[in-house]
Amino acid sequence: MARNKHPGRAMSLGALAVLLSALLALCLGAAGLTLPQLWEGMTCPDSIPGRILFHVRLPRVLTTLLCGCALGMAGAVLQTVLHNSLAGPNIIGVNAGAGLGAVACMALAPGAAAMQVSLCAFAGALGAVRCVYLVGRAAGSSRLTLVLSGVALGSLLTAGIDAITTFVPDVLPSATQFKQGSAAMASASALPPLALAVLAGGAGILALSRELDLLALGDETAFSLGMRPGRYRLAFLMLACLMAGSAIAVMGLVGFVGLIVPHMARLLTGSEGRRLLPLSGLLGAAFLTLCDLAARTLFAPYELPVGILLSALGAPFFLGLLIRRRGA
Amino acid sequence: MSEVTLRAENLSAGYGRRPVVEAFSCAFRPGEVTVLLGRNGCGKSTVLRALGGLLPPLAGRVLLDGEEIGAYRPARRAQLLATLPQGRDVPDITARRLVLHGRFPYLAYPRRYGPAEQARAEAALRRVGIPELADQPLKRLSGGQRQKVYLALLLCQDSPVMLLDEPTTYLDIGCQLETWQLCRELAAQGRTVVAVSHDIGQSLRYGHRVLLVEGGRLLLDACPGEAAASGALERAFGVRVRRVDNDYLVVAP
Repeated sequence: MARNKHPGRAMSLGALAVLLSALLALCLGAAGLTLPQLWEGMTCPDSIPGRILFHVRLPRVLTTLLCGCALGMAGAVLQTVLHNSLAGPNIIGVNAGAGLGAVACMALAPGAAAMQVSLCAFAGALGAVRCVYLVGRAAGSSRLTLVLSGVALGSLLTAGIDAITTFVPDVLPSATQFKQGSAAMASASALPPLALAVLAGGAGILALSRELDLLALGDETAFSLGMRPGRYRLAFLMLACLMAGSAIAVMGLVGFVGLIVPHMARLLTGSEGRRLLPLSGLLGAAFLTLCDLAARTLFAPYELPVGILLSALGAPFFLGLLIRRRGA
Repeated sequence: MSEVTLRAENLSAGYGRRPVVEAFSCAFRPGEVTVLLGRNGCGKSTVLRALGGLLPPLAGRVLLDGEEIGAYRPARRAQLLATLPQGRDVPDITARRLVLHGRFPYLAYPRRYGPAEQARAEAALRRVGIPELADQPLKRLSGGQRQKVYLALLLCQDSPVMLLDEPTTYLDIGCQLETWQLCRELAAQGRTVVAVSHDIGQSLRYGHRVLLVEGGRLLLDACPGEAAASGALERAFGVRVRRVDNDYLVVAP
């Protein structure tokens, strides 16, 4: 449904959500910071609040903001390009592909730089999405075909991750955490390549938002209106995989952000790319940051990997989509 | 309206390497509604896809305004030729938004739709008789209403050559006749109109020319009167065609 009446309002809401979630996530945690302490920390990095802020909270919050933005936008692009509202990156095997790429890179080249791991995750994600797309096209037009082939491919790729972590246990100090998706592994050194991928991918996607609108009309109509759908689809899949892959390389297999967030954004602003894409990025950033905050504070002193919380939210959401689709 | 011809020369087209259509030659002229008739699976839609450039020819060529259609920049091609495809998706947008996309090939990056584009979209929606549905989401419209929105998209694209794959499916009989009337008007403006249809009677009534495709080959290319008299249509479809004043009645043999 297209609700385009207050596009500016939706965007401000998204920006506000990002700011609030970042502020909350910076302040709350095992050692809470009050606002004056936060200020002290920011102005004086060597103070205790400063150390908490710059060594613990800030890298983590930046990681969840960037990963959430990447996954939200990637999900919006995938759902549009594949004409399938069920096409979250985790559902169609993109996450597993990126995870396998990242783990394979770490196993084959121990000590690889974050940038290299990101690139391998990108390659893995792209391989997975091409595979699922081609299978879906060969098998017929049903929307569930894509999901089913994603499930099959996903379990194959996850088995690949398991195989590598079994044979080369040193690859991942916490393989379980990686498979669930967690921001606890976040480090400041992984941020620059992640930020680069999010900026480049996000800018590319936003620049082509009108072309994305045309792709949503189906290949024949898009072609008739004067674009080359195949070429643009490939470009969009690459950009989406670049974003999702670099997020997965840093946080592991975080599921469902890319499925849930575009649906929230679409409810707020309709499905026109120029509004949907930036809003998906903003809401994704806020959503993942809030989820991570909840995961590390709700059961303190235990810290839940955020992936578990996301699955608890995402799986029912997915089932709800299935049921609603049937009724529609 | 600048007059633009479309010509197929010895065209073979198909999917993979197997041709569905072979040795198809025909010139489509401005000012005429040309109707492609044929049984299911005879290759009508394949001809139309190849004519529109969507399907690259396996042999032969398609000339749009004298130049090979594959040689055009996509946006330029879309300014000259518009296609109403058979499979029409139902994207999650309003009718107005879909119709606005008809201006896509005319705009330079970043392709923002301004007041001029809005006005053209409004006019196109009015022309097909559904201005009140402009802000309805496509998903809430009936099949026939969506069909009209797609016709409005075609009008908004405003190309001198228009290819329509089964433009009357989903429409009630009144709307079917209106659509044919619209085709005639478009042709009268100097456009080259090519339509695929399943309705022999309507094709003979509203087409200036009728092409019969059978087994991937062009069997007949004639004006309606000749086409009806030739008996080729009757043989191809296993029916009898009777003339009643200006209309043609298709009856069981």
